[in-house]
Amino acid sequence: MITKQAVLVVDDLAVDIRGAAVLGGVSLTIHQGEALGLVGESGCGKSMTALAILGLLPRGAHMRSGSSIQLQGKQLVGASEQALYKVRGGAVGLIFQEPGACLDPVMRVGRQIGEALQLHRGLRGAAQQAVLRDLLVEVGLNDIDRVARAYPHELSGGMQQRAMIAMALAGEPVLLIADEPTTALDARIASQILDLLDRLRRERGLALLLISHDLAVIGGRCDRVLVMYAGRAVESAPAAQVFDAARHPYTTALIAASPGLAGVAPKSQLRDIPGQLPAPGGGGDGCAFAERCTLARPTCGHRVPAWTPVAAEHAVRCLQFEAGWSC
Amino acid sequence: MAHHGLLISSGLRVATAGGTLLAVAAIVFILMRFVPGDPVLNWLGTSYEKADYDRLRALYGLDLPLLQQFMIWFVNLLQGELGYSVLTQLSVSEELWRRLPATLELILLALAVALPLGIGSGIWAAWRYGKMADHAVLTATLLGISLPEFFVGAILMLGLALQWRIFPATGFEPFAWSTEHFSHMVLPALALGLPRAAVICRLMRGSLLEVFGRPYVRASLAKGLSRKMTLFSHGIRNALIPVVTVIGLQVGYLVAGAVVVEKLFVIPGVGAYGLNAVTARDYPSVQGFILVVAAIFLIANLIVDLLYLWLDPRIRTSAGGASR
Amino acid sequence: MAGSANPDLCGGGIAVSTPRTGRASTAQRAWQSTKVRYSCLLILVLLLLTLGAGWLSPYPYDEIDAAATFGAPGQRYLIGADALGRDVLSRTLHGGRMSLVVGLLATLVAVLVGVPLGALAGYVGGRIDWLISRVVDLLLPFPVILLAIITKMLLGDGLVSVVVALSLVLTPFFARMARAKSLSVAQLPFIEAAQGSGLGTGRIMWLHVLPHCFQPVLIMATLSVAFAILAEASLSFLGLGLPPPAPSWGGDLQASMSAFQLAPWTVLAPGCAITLAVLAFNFLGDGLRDVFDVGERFL
Repeated sequence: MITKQAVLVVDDLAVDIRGAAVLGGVSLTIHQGEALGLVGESGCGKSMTALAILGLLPRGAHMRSGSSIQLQGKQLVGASEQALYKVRGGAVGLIFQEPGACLDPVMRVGRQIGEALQLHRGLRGAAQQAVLRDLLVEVGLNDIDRVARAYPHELSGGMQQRAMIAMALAGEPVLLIADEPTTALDARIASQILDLLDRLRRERGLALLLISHDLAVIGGRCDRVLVMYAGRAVESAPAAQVFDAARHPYTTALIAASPGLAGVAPKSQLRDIPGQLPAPGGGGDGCAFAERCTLARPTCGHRVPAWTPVAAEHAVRCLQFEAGWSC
Repeated sequence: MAHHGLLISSGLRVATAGGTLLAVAAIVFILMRFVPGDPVLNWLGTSYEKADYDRLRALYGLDLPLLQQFMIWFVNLLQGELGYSVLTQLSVSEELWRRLPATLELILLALAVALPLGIGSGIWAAWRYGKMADHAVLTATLLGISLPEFFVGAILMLGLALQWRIFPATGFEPFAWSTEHFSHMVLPALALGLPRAAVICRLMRGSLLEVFGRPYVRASLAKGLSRKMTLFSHGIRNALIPVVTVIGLQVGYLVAGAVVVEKLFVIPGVGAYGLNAVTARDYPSVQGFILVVAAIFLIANLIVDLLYLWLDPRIRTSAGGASR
Repeated sequence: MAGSANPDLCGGGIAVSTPRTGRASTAQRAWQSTKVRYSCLLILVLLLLTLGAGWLSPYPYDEIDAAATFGAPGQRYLIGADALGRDVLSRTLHGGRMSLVVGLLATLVAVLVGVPLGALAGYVGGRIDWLISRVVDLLLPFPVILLAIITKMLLGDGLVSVVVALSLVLTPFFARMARAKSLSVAQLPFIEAAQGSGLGTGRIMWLHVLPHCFQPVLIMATLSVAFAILAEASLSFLGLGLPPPAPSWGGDLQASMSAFQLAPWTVLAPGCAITLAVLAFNFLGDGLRDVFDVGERFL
């Protein structure tokens, strides 16, 4: 088996906001051409992870020392602003949840994409126009001239998202991060966009980090899945294993609560997960999921579980899988 | 296609402005007729001849039915004929026309001070949000919006004109591209423009700070633009839009301020004319003054409206444009 | 608000929009800001000084003393004397009384008239909305001077004329803001529920719509008072306010302009008084805005 190159290696990424931990030591690896799905409830820190990778943390947020983010071998934590500018929109493309809101409302779409082309590939004038057209075709847009001259509010949600993808591709990225790309779109369009991302991944050999709270979006489109809860990764496995053989109690609960997961949980058997995510910093000393976990034991509240392998390429953060657990 | 909408929207704006002006004129006319007391008696004073009284009433058409008076007045208005001043017997429209350039120049100079200073410092303060520079600007503008124009003018006069004799204190030289003319306009323009600059600075700062929190700013950073590039390519233009709409209102305050400044610095503009007319209860002149002032700020608002149409493409698509 | 679910910090720019908080907690939060505290203190001092002008003034404001014309500040006249030998300090205190009364009164009228009208327009919509909006749009950009001239001619000299003019200028702002707030609230589902349960328009507005307007109205009101004081001073300066010999900051300043170099205190005292009063209310407005209007920033 040919080991593919690791495009992104994140090790022990931890972020605090005003003293409270919002990310507590997340580690992940994405290989070339691989799609990693990052899934979890709203507020679990998945978007924060994406922003942290690009060094785009909001005001007041700080990365703890010991965090490491390596893109194609180069360390991004502590890198100069200049280096980060090249990475953002360049080697790493980022697309967001509400494409309409993420486009400058008073600038024509073509010009916004052109900005990225000029910035990362130095293209201007006719050369820029040519590449722009190619990009718009590649993301599946018709009526290219109209789209390029249009303002964002003149395009539909699906077209706006395709335009954003084109913008992300302008810098010839090796990694594409898609943060809830379809949440604001309706089902048919969402499916088209996900297909598009699939196709681009295959054609360009991109690595893809797909972030969603919806397991149905992740399922079937990703090679591997990373489940997050309250700022920590709790389970990491190949996609098939996550759905057939999930180990972490949160993952199983998540699957049981997800509508439309093909063949896994018919809607009539949906079960809600009682309780809520703890506020950052409010998780106490133990496992953050303990208070909502049906399998919780007293020890769960006292110790954060370690990352424990349970099968090939499958690891869990749960006390019951650590050695010495008494059933 | 897009231009079609732009043209229709612009046309509608112009028509609305014209209609409003006419409505204002009508209202002014009606109000003037409601002023208590007999205007002719006011003009004549205590001892008068009945013949004079009748003559004046006839001259000003005050003995005709109200509707007829209105029709006459309205027709005259459309021809640019605003009647004659009771005080000076001179044509109101001629006087106003003669004095208009001075007032317009004053307002334009004040804008030339207020806009660059206000917008520039607003951007700078927002850029340095939370730091010393921002606090300094906030404090300075707090003072700036609290100072009345006449006090600013008075202090400038005391300092730069009376004490240090850099500029003349009062008076006015007819328009020319000369130091004599402009040296008389510097202090008035500053007195009028500096408080406005403070207001505009705060507006710009607030608008820009709001824009900084918008998703497309974050997306721009994620695209690889530096903070500065994002500010200039995306931030400023979006932040200017709400500010531009408010500047139209600011012109109204500028016109009011012009009256004050004209009185303080003894500039023979429209404001000074109107003020004298009010004190003397010279109705035709007051009417003319009100119309001219209304016309100035309606035109200013129209320009602002059209500017807004041009700046914000989202408004253009609906043919009439929504009211803000 | 802060205790419940972890807000998604990645959602780009969160405005902490306050739902209906009670009056008490609003006041508590407001009081925590130093700006608010200092400005309230300043306003309190101003109110005491001006409203108590009658007791605090060392001399009657219209007492003429020919011997002390333009007397410099000193033992006898704390801030000096004006052209007629009147005590500048006393005149300034009394002038302040009128300015503050006019400012507060005009704002009160504007709030009491503008907010209900605007809220009604936003809530009911239709022809009433159209009518109210037309009137507001017409009045909105009018300079104070024009309205003051008109009211002066119609209602004569006096307090009423000035207050009416200022109220006409201020009311459209409150109406427009109340309408916007009312529109945003009218969409919410609990309004439909309230309507369904048979509550009348008036009660719904009183219980559900108007409380949402409270905070922005408060901020706008403080800025209104500042504006009104400033406008009244300008009108007095132009001779369109209360007629002499009533003491007024603007009028006194204007009367003293010719002697500016000779006796600068006659101009500086009223000028600084105006600035201080306006500044106090603007400062309060600033502080309140900081407390009630928060957002997250990425740049």
